[in-house]
Amino acid sequence: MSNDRKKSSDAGRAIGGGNSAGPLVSAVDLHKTYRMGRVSLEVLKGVSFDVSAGEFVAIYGHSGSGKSTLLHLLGLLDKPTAGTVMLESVDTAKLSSPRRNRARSQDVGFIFQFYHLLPELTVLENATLPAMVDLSMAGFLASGKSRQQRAAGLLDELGLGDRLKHKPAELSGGERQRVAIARALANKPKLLLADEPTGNLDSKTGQKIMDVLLRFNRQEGQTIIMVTHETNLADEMDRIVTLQDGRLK
Amino acid sequence: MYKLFLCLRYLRSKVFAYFAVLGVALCVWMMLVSVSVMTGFLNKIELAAKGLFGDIIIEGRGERGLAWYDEFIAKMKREVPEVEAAGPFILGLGILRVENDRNFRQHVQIAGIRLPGRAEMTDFETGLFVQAGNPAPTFDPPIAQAIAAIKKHRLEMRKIVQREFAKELAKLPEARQTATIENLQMLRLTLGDKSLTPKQRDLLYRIDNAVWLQNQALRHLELAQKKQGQMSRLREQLRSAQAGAKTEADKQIAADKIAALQLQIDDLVDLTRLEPPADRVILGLGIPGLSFRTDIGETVRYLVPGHRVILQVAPLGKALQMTGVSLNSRKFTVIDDSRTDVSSIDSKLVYVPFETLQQLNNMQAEFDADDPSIMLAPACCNQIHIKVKGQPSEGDLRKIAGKIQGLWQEFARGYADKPTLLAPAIGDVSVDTWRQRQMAVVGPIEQQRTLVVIIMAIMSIVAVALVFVILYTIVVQKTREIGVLKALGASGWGVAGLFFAYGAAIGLLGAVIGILAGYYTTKNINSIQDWADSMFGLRVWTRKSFMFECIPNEVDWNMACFIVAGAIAAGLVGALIPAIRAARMEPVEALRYE
Repeated sequence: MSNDRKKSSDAGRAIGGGNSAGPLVSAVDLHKTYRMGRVSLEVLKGVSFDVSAGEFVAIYGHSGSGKSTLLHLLGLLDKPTAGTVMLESVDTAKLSSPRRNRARSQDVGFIFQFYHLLPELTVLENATLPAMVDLSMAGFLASGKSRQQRAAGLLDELGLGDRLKHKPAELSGGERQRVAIARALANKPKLLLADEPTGNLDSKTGQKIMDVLLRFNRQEGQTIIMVTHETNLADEMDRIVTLQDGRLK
Repeated sequence: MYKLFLCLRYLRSKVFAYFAVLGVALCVWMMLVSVSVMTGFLNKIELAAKGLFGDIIIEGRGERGLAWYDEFIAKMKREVPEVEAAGPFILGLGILRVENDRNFRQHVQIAGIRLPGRAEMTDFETGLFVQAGNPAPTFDPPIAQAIAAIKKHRLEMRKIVQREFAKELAKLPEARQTATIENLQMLRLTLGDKSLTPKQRDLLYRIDNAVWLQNQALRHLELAQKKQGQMSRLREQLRSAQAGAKTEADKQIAADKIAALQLQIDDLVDLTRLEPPADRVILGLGIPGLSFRTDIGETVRYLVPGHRVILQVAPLGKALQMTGVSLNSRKFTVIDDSRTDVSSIDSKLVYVPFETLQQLNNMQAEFDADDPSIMLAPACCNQIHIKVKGQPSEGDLRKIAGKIQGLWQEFARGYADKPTLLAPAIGDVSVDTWRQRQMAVVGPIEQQRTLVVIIMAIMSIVAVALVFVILYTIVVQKTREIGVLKALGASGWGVAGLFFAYGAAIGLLGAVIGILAGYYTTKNINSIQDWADSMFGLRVWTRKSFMFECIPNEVDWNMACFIVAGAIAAGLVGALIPAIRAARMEPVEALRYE
C-alpha cells in the first residue's frame, strides 16, 4: 500500500521524480550562524547526514545543541549560512522561491512542539488548510472535496472523527497535536518533520502521539525525522543522530 | 484559495475589525452627505439662476436702461447663431394690495415679462399653478383651466384635512365623514373646539379661511366663463366703433356710443373681476400672507386665480423728480402663480405683462404732444435675457457674451446720427453670464465645498490610520500563524495578499455601509431636519438664509464612486505596511515570534 501511495503522489511533485536510488534527504555540510548585533552565534558547524525513504530518524541532543535549527533547515523553513539540503538529489539552495514554497507545501510536513493550529478555524478546516494553500480557487473547487475527505479520513484515523467542528481551544493538548499531525500529512508529504511533538505533553499522552507516528512509519512507510531530547523516545526509532555543539557526535 | 477563506474568517471573528469598518463607514457617510448637499445646493443655484434669467444677461446701467431692445434682439438673432431665444425684462418696485382687504400690503418686486416668449428662455412654465408645464403660457389662459386647477388644489387640501384629523374623523359615522370634510365648519362643530390641539385648531381655521376665499374666486371665474361671449361681443363692437370713426364728425357721433360700450365693458369687468389680459398678474407662490404651509411643506393658497389685486408701482424708469414720486396704481386679476423654489424670489416677485409694466414704470416711448409723429424718447427695458443653444460651458458662454457686447457697440454706433436722447447708450451696458452675476453667491459655496472635501480628506486620514493600527495589531498577533501558513507552503506575496484583501474588504464594507447610510440620510434630510426641529428646536436650514425651500437631497453619485474608491484605497494603504511586514518574514522567524 505504501508503495502505491508514493508512486501515485509522485506525479506533479515539486522535487525529484524517478531518482529513488539515492537518499530521500541529505544534509550536506550545513552551517548556520545567527547574528545578534555584534555577537554572532554559530549554531551548526558543518552537519552532514542522509535519510532514506521509509526511515524513522531521531535527532537527539540537549537543548541549545542546534537540533531545531537543523530541522528547520531540512524543512526549508530557513536558509543555511553554508552547505545545502538535497531533497531527492535536488539542491534546494538552487530552487526559486515559488519552487521552495511548493516543496514546503507538497514534499514536507511539519509538526511543531506547540501545535500552532489556527484558532479561528475548526479542526477539519485546520487539517484542510494545506490543501487550500496548495490549490488555487479553481483547483479547490475541482478537487477540494476529495482533499477535505482525506483530511477527515486522517482525523478519523487519529481518533478525532467526532471533533471535526470543534475549535482548537476546545481540545486537549494531545488532541491538538493529533490535529497537527493530520495537517502535516494532509498533502501526503514524502518527509514528515516533527519538532519535539511530545515536548509539551505528559508522558502518557506523549507516548500515544509517539505510537501514532510509529504506526504511520511502520504501516505506511512514512519517512519521519523527529527532534527530541528524551532518550527513551529516541530508542524506539530506526536511527539516532546525536547533535552536540553544532556537530554530529 | 486560503487567502479568501482566511480573509472572510478573520472578518467574521475579529470584533476588532468592526471598529475599522465603522470608522471607514462614518467617514464615507459624512463625506457623502455633506458633499451631496453642497453639490445639490450649487446645482439648484445654477438651475434657478439660469431658469430665472437665462444664460446671458444684458443690463443697461444708465438711468434710461436699454433702448431699441426689440431691434437689437432681432439683430442678435440674425448675427449670433448661438442665441436660441431672447426677450426684454423690466424689474420694478411696488406695493401689492388685495381688493377688499384694507390691512394687507406687501412690498414686492414686479417683473415685466413677455409670454409665451419667456418660457423659451427660462423654466418659467414648470412652476406654474394653472399652466403647469404648458410650453406656451400666457396671461390669458382658458378660464376653465384656472377653475380646474383650483378644484384640484381643493382635493389636495382635503387630503391634508383627512391626514391631520384622521383620528377625530374616525370617531364619526362613515356617512358623515365625507360630508364633514366638505364642510369644515361642521367638522369644528361636531368635534368641538376643546377636543382639538391649538395647532389643529389653527390649521382648521386657516383651511376654512382658504376654502372661503377660494370659493369667492371660483364664483368670479364661473361667472366670467358664462359672460365670456357677451364680453367678447362688446369688445368687438367697441373696436369697430373706434375704427369706423374716421372724420371729426364721425368721431363726435361715435363718442357717445363708444362711451356707452366702455361703460358696459367696465361693468362686466367689475362683475366678473376679470381684467383684460394686459392687466393680469402672476403671483410668486410664497408672498407672505397669500398662502400658508403645513408642517410637511404643502402649500395652501388663500389667493387664487380669479381674485383681484392692486399694484402700486414706483415709476423708477424715467422722470425722477426731486419733489417726490407718485405711485402708478392699477388693478390686476390674478391669473396664475409661480413657484421656483428659490425662496427669495417666490416670496417677493410678481409677474405682469412687459408692456404694462413699461407704462407703469414710465419707460414707454414718449412723443411730442403737438406732433405725435415726433418721438422724443424710445421705449426702454432694464435687461435683455438670452438663452443659448445646447448646454454651453461657462467658457463658451463668456465667448458668446463678448460677441454680444461687440455687437451692441456696433448697434449703438448705428444711431450716431440720431439725437442723443434717441440713441442707445454704448458704455452703460454690461453683458454677463449667469455665473458672473451669481458669483457673489456661487463663489463662496464652491470654496466651502472644497473646504469640506479637504476637511473630510483629513478625517479620512484618521480612518486610514485606524485601519493601519488595527491591521498592524492583527498582523503582529498573527505573526506565528503567518509562520505556520508559510511552513505550509504559502508564499510571502500570498500572505501579503491575504492582508491586502482584508484591508480592501474593510474599506469596501465600510464604504457600502457608509453609502447606504449616506443615501438614506441625504434622501430624508428634510424630514430629519424637521424632526430635529420639533424634538430639539434645532433648525440649521432656514428658508431665509439659504434661499431655497428645502435642503437639496439628491445623492451625488459621481462623488459616491470616488468616495468608495477612496475608502478601498484607504483600506489598502492601511494594510500596506502590515502586509509587507508579513510578506518579508522568514517562516522560522515568524514561528519563533513571541
